[in-house]
Amino acid sequence: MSDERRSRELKLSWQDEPTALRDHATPERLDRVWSRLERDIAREDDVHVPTTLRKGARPRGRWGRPSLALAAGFALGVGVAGWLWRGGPERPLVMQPAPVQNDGPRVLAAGTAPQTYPLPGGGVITLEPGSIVDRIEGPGQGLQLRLVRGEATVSTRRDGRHERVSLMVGQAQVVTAAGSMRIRHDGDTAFLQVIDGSAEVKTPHGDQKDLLLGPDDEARVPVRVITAQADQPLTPQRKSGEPAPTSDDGGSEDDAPAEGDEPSTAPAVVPAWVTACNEYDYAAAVKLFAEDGGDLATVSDPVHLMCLGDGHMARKDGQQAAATYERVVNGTGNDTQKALAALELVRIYQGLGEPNKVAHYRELHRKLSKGRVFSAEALCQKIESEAAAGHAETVRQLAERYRNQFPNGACTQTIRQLLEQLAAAEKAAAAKDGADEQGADAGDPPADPYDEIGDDETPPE
Amino acid sequence: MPKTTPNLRLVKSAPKDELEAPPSSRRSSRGEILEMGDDQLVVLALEGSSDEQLRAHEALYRRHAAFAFNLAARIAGSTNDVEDVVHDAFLRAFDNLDNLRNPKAFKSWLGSIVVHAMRSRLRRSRWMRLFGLGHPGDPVDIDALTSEQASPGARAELAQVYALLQTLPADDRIAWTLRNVEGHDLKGTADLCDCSLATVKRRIRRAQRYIETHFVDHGDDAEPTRLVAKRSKRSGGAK
Repeated sequence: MSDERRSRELKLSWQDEPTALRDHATPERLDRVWSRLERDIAREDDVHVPTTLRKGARPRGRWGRPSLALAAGFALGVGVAGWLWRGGPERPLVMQPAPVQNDGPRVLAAGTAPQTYPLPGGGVITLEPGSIVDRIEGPGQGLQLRLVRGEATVSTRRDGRHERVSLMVGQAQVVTAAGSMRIRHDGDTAFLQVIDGSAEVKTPHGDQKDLLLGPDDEARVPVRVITAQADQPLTPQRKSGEPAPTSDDGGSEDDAPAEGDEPSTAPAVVPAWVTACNEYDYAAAVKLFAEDGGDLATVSDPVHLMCLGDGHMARKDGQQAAATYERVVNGTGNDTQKALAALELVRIYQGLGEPNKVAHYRELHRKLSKGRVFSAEALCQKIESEAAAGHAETVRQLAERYRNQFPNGACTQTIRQLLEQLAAAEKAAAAKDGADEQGADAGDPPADPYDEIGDDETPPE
Repeated sequence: MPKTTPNLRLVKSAPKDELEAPPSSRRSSRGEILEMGDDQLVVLALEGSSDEQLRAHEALYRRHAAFAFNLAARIAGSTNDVEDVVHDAFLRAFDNLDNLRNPKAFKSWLGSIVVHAMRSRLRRSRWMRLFGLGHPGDPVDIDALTSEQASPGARAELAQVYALLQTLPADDRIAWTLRNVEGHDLKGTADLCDCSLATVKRRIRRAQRYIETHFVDHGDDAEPTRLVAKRSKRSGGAK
């Protein structure tokens, strides 16, 4: 198979991006090296660097190569003897085929599918698609990682050994010594869920805002010092049984500031329309926002703008929705948010019969999303994880949102199946409860709602 | 004809009398030097006055430094020591200009010197790592490698590819990088690696196979149900 063909099979999108790679030849660097070269050239007659390749110098004489070979052979012999003396076959050198070696690579990344890496010192880290983790320090004082972007699940349990793992997210630090946690970088904040064990969170605001989370605790923590915005509540803490924040929500009503919050960094009151956004009630959010003054210029958070845009869409107000989404596209949101807004604008302007704008935003969406529907995919994954956690109500709300936003999305069928399975599971549970109340034998447990989508590689538990 | 060291070998040589000689009878102005071809600059760097030699060296450097910097950084996966590598490569090149049989091919000759230097560094750090001598090799610095314009997907892919490349033998890693990151054709890659076309194809194929095996990319048409099930089971199990 030709190399060209193989390259295409890999679908490496950066090969189509001429600007993806950095140009390392900065003017400062060029000048710096030239000044070194200039000095070396100027003293060429005095100092020979490198001596073996100076002008006029012949490659090593006739005995040069045999001598070198002899020396190399001797060194090899000494090396092998030393190796055998130190332990020989009992301590074989092992080359690991996996990307992580003893010292391991500095960058861990997942492409378009989750990727799990073993961690030096024990434990594993699972990266969600598109996530990148940097290793800052190796084992010794404990492993220190930095979540550059995306979402990671860190588990420090392995064969009874517990290694302290520290995960930096922006300026916040999350430390876990025994257990597992899920953490997602959402820009200014990070969403943290402790699955098992405990985790200590040090926020950039100082010690008074540190958190200690136990099993099933969830929190949204600030990852950099930012000035307060009325529409950006921070640092909630709750049990995971309650609706979890999504990557594109900004907190919820119970996102009350932790004790000791500085007034300059935490809002006193969360606007009602933000609460409605967090509860996925976009139409109500728009209504409450209008009652609150309705000045779109005061909202800068792209998540909240998307919420209001969705609300306008729910109220069939295409013009207002377009104005709101345009603020996202021209605002400070990330590419994913902008791509989603651009997609919405395509739909709106298609409905309004404005082909130029349709073409413009379609092209923008294509450019921002690189042909992938990041947001639909992210929402789909969120629905799956909520379904797996058994949060039926949240699944229904998110599924409704998915249907509205991506009526022809790739996940539609899967979501429909998930909803059917959840309904069946609930029905079975209700029937079982009814049978229990009547004193009847409970019989077989309800079917696993995920059996139908079972994975051959992962046997059902 | 004097022998050259293997890394300085030129695949194609041209007789020097075919080359256009620089205006050696008079002093070349700065503007003229900048307009000269590589072959003329090489001749000027060898035969001009000391001032002309310096200017010719500078012109060659300014013309090809970006190529050398990017080549070294993309092979290494970081910008650590890149300045040293490029400095040494130019110094070697300038010291051996009289061994250059085809001055028109200065760029590819310089590239082969950079590649040789990087290969030595990679091999050295790999051996050091294998023998546990504490040198972990250059870390992949994805922030330094990618530009601000790179999409998140591209960054993630590059990070993953470089993490995989780190585990490959230096020759395979270099060949694959030259072909797929730097975008050289097979012939150019073979020239830079100072090996035959068949060898470079074999190296690229080996690296490609490894990356294909370990690269996680289900593409856009991955079957969603399987992914759903995988994630669901894992999440469910963790609870």
